[in-house]
Amino acid sequence: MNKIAFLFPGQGTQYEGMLDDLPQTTLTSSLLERAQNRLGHDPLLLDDKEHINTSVGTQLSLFIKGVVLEAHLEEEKIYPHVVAGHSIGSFAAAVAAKVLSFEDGLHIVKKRAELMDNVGGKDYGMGVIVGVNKEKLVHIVASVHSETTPVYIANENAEDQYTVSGKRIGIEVVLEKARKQGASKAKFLNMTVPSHCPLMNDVGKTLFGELEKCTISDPAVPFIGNKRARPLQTGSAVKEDLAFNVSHPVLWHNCSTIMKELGVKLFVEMAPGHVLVDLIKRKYPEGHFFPLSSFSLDDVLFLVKKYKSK
Amino acid sequence: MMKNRSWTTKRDEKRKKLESVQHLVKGKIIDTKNMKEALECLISSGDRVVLEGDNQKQASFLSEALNSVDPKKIHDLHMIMSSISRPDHLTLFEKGIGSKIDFSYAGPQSLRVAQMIEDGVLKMGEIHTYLELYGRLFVDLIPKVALVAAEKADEKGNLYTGSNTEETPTIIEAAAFKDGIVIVQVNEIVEELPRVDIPSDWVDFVVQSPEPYQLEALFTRDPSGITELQILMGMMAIRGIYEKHNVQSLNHGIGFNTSAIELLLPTYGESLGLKGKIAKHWTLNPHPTLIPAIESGWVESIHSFGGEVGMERYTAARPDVFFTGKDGKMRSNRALCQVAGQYAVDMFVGSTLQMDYYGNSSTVTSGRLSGFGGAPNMGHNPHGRRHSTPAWLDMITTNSSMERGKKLVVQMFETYGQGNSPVFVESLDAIKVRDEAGLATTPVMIYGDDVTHVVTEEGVAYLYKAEGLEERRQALSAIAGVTKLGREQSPKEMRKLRDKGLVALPEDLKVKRTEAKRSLLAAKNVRELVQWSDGLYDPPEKFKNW
Repeated sequence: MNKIAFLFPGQGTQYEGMLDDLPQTTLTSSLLERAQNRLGHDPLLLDDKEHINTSVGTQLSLFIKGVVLEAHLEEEKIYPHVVAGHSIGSFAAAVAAKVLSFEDGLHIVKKRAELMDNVGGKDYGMGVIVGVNKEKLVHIVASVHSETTPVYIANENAEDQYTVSGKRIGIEVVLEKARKQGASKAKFLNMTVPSHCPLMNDVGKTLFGELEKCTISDPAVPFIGNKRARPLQTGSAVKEDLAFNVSHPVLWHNCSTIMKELGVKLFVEMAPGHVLVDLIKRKYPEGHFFPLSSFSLDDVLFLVKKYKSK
Repeated sequence: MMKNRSWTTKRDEKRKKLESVQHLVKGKIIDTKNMKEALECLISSGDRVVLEGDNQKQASFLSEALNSVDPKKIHDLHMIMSSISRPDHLTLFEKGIGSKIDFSYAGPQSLRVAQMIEDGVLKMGEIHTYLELYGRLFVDLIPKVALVAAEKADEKGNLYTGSNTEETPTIIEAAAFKDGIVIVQVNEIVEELPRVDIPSDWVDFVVQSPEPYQLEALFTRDPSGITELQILMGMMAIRGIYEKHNVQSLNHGIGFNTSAIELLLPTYGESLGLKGKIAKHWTLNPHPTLIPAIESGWVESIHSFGGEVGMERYTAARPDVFFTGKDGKMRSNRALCQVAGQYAVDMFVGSTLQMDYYGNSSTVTSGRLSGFGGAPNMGHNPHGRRHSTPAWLDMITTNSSMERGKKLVVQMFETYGQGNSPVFVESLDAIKVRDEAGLATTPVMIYGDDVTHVVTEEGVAYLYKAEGLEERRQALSAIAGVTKLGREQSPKEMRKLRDKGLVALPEDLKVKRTEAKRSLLAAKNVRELVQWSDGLYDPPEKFKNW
């Protein structure tokens, strides 16, 4: 039987009104109601023009969408053999793996977004670099990084796709050098929060404290951690990864590789977008990829059932 | 004198173990549903267990069965696997059923292996070439239990392994004659076997697997993926190496570079009048891309490590070329073919992901622990060789009365490889991997002093002629294109190297770049391979695009 992974995307895929196209079912209504009770306001306000690009709006919208879509797959008895999320996506993945309740997840994600906002500011940001290998980038970043121009490798998305995080003046030089060394793309992301680097150390610590107050269970299926790309099997390991992924690089390239090595053949990516399956697909012609942004829920249910037994 | 010591402790222990499963077996047959319980009786914690899995054929049912045993009863096994290829091979260690591993190749699981070593879940023995690992099965890694796969068995326990004999007889021999226990999964138990590949005396138990053993078509390269750059390199190799040194016998790797050469022999090779003069004897698996060369009468013999999915009817119909049994089907043998590839052939041609400036090469990359399987075996000059052939003698560069020939070890690659990274690097990732994984030595696939030739899209470097490391570096620089190493080269030096015969460019070899077209391939896709085979080749579904 073919193994299935459920993937949960991270920031960058959000869009205005992204919670409006959730399946119109009683399951969606009941989850939104639970979100309203926990948050104290209508969750559908999170994705409007005013809020969607705030940290809270983005992160909670992605979290809610991921949880709602995953619940619909489960309702049809489609279960994952492994789950993985990119950065904020990890929290919905943790709910899918039964580590964390939906309610606790809402609270933690909101907290995470608020804490992250306190770190950033107009001097900070992130950049994306495509077309240089890690060795080169490590070298470039090391040559630029200093106390006054802090810059770090943030995400390792593929062998030749990275993001960097830190102060904009440092990032600017890194982008320039990367371009000179053959990067096909090197530009700022539309963000003022330097995620996934040591500037977030305190956020991680506070979040860990918050997670200590939640009920944490062992994952029902292996949860691929962002920090070390390990298939995690205990609640405490997942908790640690959820808290501190914010201050460490996301090793997504290794996360994809590990899922392949674990024998996963089917990848279902929760909406929005299809960034994560695209990253895996390039190197995995034998895989089958079903992003819920491109396929209807019914199609995915049909296709997963079809390919599962093959 | 140790008068009271028993000399039959191993035999006694085996007898006891066999007795302990009598309620679970009928003669030699273990009922499929009793497999877990039988393993729990037959294996003890700490035992050395060989689990069969090379890179193609896997004892998949036994691997799953071993994963199902109770880790409280059986733990800390010392596993020996030539290839770690299945996810459950490593789950064994996560569960604590196994704790130590000795292996040859872990390509498909190389990140997990590296992670588990780092996390202390897996204790690393050594990385071996296939032959070394087989060798140690008879020395200091003698197995207590062998878990292997065959195609068919009869009630007595005779085995039929057919074209995928692979390493099964070698593993079984090491266990069976040293009071180890041999357990075989088979696809089918039949009354009469087509032929006996392994006699029942060597086998303790047979279990019918609910599903056929896992088999991958690893040696099939679709000609439609061959590029014109690879064709150019193939033409240079044929002229500048095969023809120049009169290569009679050889092994090819599994890359597109070498499949291009296989498909150029009946066209380009033929036009040079080389048929019957070169590349007659082969040690390799039945590569489908060899079909046109075989059909055109180029190939006299092929001995194989294993079979190839889809080539069964074809190999059976060409017994003059392939090794076959009295039943008509092919017989392979991984250990013997590795020996042949090491000692008996003129040349090995392979590829690599990285090569340093002195010709040392490795396919391990940072954070991954993969090993090399058979490549280092065939990709080196065996100093024990005493017979001579024209190509071997052609490597002699001095007049010393003690001079001897050399095996041709050829590396072929494009200067820029995967992810647009240069293949020529100042320092191999393998050195980092050595430190990360705490290995005793750097995992080098082929050492620079064993490499006689390097072929890139720029030309051929004749490293065997290089006097000293500096000249070796210069010769590599001359064919390193626009990589950092290549930019070291000045036109003056290049001229000197070409005059000395250390480097040949296409024009030196009378190879026209403009002729390197896909139309030169004897078959341009899988369908044409089927046509060449007279319909005898049955490609796996994933290669059928018509």
